Amino acid sequence: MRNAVTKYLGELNSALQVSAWRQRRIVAEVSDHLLELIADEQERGADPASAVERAMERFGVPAELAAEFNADAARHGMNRASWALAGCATAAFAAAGLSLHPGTTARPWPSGSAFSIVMQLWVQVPVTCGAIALFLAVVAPWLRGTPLAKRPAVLAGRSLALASVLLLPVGVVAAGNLATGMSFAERLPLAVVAVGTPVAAIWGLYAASRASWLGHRADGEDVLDVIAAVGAALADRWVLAGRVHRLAGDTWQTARTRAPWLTSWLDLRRHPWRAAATTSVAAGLALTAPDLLVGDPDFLAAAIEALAVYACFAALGGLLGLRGERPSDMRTRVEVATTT
Amino acid sequence: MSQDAVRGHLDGLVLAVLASGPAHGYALIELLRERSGGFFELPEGSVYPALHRLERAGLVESGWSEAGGRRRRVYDLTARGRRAVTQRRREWRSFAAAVDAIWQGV
Repeated sequence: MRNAVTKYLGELNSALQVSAWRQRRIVAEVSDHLLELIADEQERGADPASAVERAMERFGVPAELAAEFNADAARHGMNRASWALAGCATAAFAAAGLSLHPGTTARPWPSGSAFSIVMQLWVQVPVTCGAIALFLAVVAPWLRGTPLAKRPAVLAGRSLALASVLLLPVGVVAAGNLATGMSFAERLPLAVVAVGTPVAAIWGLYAASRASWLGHRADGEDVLDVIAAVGAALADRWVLAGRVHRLAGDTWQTARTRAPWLTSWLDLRRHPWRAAATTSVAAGLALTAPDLLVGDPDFLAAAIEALAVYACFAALGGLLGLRGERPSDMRTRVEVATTT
Repeated sequence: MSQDAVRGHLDGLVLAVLASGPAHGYALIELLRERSGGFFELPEGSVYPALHRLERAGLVESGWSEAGGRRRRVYDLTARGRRAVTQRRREWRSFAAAVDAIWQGV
């Protein structure tokens, strides 16, 4: 009897991929419950051997039970990494904003242009990746009331991995600028980025490596589908959101019927490249808007911003599920459907 | 109803059972079976991932208790958990009433 229970607990223990503390706790709880089940079966008249067998049957397959715990641990890890990376990216943005202050006298490390490229241009990519991860792993499951699973989990994992890797140069530049004579207010967000980035990156990469436990890359929705589902969930939850959702939907349908060519420049699902061009131009204009207000627009910086946004969309849009399905994903989706 | 369909509601069912008082895993699955008139025949282990999930979400808290020479981990609702029970009960009643209204026309 003891051997069978030990074997069952050993199988559960080796299949669990959670922290050592949680692993010990799960095994202790399962062990207690199994012993009660065995006693229960014996009280009903079963002999010791069949009581053990029936208790384990009632409890369930160890691998399936461990898989549920592992999936929850993966979700928790993605949640934590998303918040950490989003926090570091926000601090990096704040640091870049403060360093643009006209009164600053410090000379940035390694040089003014390198500081600007990393802290103002490059940082936008991990910020976007972090925002996608936070949306998929935290915001959407909360608003929809469903756990993170399938393709959105894979996309969140990819976003976390990219954000983790791409934030590292930002962390290095932030650390290098801690001793350049900047004011305390400027150094504070830099210190947060320098210390927080390595921790957030480790959490992000670890969580990304576990994303495949939650689903297959070709099994489920892409980011645009999740945005649509969140819109519908909000509409169900609040009356005002429902009205806004209906109004936006009706307006979009009317615009598509009356001016299909014009709306194609905003339709990310059907015309991703055109919509990306619109977004790039909007990003460039947004960057130069403060300068326009003071009558000194920097059109070169706006053009660089627009080109960078478009280049990033071309390079990462498919990987992050922003550009619809790739042919390889569609093939795999058919394979998944035919094998299940 | 399939086991998968029950699993989709397991977190809510666990909260509902704990609303009547603290319980350990074994008692909880017994209560689920008893209060459903034997309808919910889930693998007994399936209740633990739900309990750990609810504890992480701050809806349930746990602690060791000793009774009859045995140490057991006992689960109880937190204040947030109690609010979640009220909300889920309201949502479930509206949902069940709507489904029932449709079936009555058949």
